[in-house]
Amino acid sequence: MARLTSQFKPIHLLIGLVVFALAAFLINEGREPTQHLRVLAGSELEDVLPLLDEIERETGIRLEFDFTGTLDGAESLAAGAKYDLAWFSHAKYLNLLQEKTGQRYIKSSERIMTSPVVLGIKRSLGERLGWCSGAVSWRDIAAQAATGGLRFAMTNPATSNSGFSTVVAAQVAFSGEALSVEQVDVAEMRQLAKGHQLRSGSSGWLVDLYLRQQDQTDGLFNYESVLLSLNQNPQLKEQLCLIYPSEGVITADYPLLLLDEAERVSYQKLVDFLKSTSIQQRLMASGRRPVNAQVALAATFPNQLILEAPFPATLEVVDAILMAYLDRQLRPGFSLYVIDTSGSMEGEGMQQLKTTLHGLSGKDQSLTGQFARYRQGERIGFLPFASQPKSLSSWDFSLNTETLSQLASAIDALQPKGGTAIFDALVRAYELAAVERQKQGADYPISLVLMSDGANTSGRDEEAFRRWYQQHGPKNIPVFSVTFGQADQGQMQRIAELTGGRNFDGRKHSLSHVFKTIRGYQ
Amino acid sequence: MQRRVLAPFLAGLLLLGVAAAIWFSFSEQRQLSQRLTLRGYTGSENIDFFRDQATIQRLAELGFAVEIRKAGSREIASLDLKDIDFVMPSGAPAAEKIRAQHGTPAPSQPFHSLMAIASWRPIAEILVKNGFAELRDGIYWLTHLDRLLQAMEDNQRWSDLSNSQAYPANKRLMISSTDLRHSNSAAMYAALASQIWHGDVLQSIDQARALAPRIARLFLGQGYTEHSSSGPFEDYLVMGMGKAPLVLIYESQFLAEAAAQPSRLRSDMVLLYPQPTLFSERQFIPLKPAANHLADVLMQDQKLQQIATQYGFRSRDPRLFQEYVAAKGLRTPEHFVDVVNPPTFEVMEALIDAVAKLYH
Repeated sequence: MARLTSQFKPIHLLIGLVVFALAAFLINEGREPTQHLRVLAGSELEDVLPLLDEIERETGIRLEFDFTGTLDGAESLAAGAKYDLAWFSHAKYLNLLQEKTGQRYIKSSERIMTSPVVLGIKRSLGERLGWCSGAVSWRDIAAQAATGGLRFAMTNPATSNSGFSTVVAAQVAFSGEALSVEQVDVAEMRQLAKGHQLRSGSSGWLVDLYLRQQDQTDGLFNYESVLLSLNQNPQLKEQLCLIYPSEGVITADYPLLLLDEAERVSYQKLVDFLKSTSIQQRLMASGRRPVNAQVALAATFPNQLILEAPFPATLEVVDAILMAYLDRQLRPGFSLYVIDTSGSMEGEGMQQLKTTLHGLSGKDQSLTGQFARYRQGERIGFLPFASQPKSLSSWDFSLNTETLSQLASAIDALQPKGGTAIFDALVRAYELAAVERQKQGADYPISLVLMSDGANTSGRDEEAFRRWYQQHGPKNIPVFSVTFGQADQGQMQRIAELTGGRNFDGRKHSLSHVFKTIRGYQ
Repeated sequence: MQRRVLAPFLAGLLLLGVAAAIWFSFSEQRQLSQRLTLRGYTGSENIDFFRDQATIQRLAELGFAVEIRKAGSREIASLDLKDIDFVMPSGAPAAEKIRAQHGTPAPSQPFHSLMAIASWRPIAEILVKNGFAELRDGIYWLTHLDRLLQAMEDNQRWSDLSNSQAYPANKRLMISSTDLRHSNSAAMYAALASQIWHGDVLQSIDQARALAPRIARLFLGQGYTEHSSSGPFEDYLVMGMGKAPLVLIYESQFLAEAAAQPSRLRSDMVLLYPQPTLFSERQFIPLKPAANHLADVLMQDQKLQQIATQYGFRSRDPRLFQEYVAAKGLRTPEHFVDVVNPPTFEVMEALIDAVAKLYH
């Protein structure tokens, strides 16, 4: 050290600094700064989030996800939402939308992994029917559902891709490949819909619902990947066999879509990385099939030959299939809206609520609005409440002018005034629901939507409600609670959990968005 | 003492290196600026040829830098071509469409391919057993495309065929193709079917319109179809036999994949040659005078012709293609006796327009 110091000359310092600066400059040149890309993605892709750090390390690209439903996503892209990339379980709907509008959102598309949407059926029933080993057609499934011998869970085809793929594949199998709008409502579809007992707006929540009600259900339609992992779930009482109908299924192929041409180079880098053998192996561990031929299919995949159904050629046909299923084939239920009309709703809150309810009656003509509309024959009830529950108004929904105008006046007549008796209103709603169930039978689908903008101020409290519910609450009538304004989020959450429903936050999204989302669960 | 020499020495070396790097990079820039940069659109089936390093390098030696973009052959005509120097669609009707709409000079045909059907050994065997196809010298010939089309018209399902246990599908017989409204390979399929059903090349717009409903069923029956030829072939490679038992492709797509490293072709994938078949020339059309020279180079340069054979294209000099195929141990027919021509542009357009109307 001493020797070095003694030989120190300013010129060395200068040279050292130059070398240091150059080296720093060169190192900096070599490493590009992290690039951020915005991705609009389907919610079923949430399980790739753990890969984000690795993607960033290997490619220098940080992906920032916004999650949404398939139709929701298509709608926002068509409305000009600015994203660099999109990643959905499939791009067929978006492709057809492009075809129809003549706009080109998708600049490039590369599939990353695949998973067919299939039926998981309890092994004992499957074996009794000979379905676990032999070929099964969609007609077999529809016939079994029609007799009540196959009660299944499935997501809403307008809000979730697994329900969408099921309905489209079945319809194509029944009507033939070249189907037209006139051919979509066939008897076999009505038979199939008879078995559709459990409803959900998302593929993930459907699994929870199935687990809760597995004793009264025979199976569920979902992604092969979801069903394979469900079969590993310790809460599952009976293993499921996976049924791949012989006319074909529709496979999710998870294409990564380039939306912004300027990001093409980064896009290609990402695609190459996601298709690399190591990442494909990891994706396969999530139950998805690899697209890279170098990666051999693991033995855990039950069926080597997946027969793929053709997908309809036009948007009109797809929309007609969805509308027919929701409006004419699926059994309409009773949807009871328990609505807070306390004084605090005055002004903006009440305005939003009224617009939302008008929208669901058919005034919202957006893509998502059309499919969220009340369904033909569905019983719609409004139970407003303030310091106490008010009187019920209800209708069998239909698009005739009389019903529509009655509904519209009932919505317009809602008046904000008084306190907030959440739990008295809920008890009243359950009593009304029980009467309806008495009339229609045990499997009549009923759901409550509770919207409140404040804490409970009158009537029984949460604890009293809990005791009442445990003693008298009818089974399988979930409450979908909407937190709004100053409502107690924790309390709204607990109501949903207690009743097997789900809580939605009306403060993060518009009330209209939240109510449309809930329609997927009804 | 050592250190005293080493520090300035290292610093000097670094400076020298930096200077050299700057000089090299600068001279590269200068070279680049001397090159003629040309922008073009081509069908997806030709894109890999242009993106190949060997192509890029050879073109650079010859003074070109080419920026290539992908578009369906039949889509090109309707794109904004203001800043585009050349286009290279596949197939004469697509080229004529561009000429008709943009008044471009005559195209040249640097290489070509022919229509074939990508399939699977179990499927090919079922076709042989049901009298649609024959295996001759290790090559599957779809000798009775007419009967296959008939079976499709009769709504036959795979499970209706005899000896079809290897493909237990309740799905209808169908050849997958691209979207007829956007892509040349689909137009070639329509041309082939019209030849068989009409008994000759369609001669008039009236004949085309009369045949449109039957042709439409071949496409509508497939449901949703992709715009670009790489789509159905990707389905074939990735989704497998369950999605794509029979896929209309260019022979070149299959041969290029066979030679790729790593190749995605598996041992049970086979190519069927329909009889009759159609040739499909790659049509180079210069839009700006600057691209004329590129046309000459693509036509005449041995090296580029050779690279094209690596992408499965049949070269202008057939020997290049045969040498390449032999070297790769692939089996392809050398001679085709039964080759038909597509209808003229006007007739083809009339047919496609009439079919497009039936989509809605």
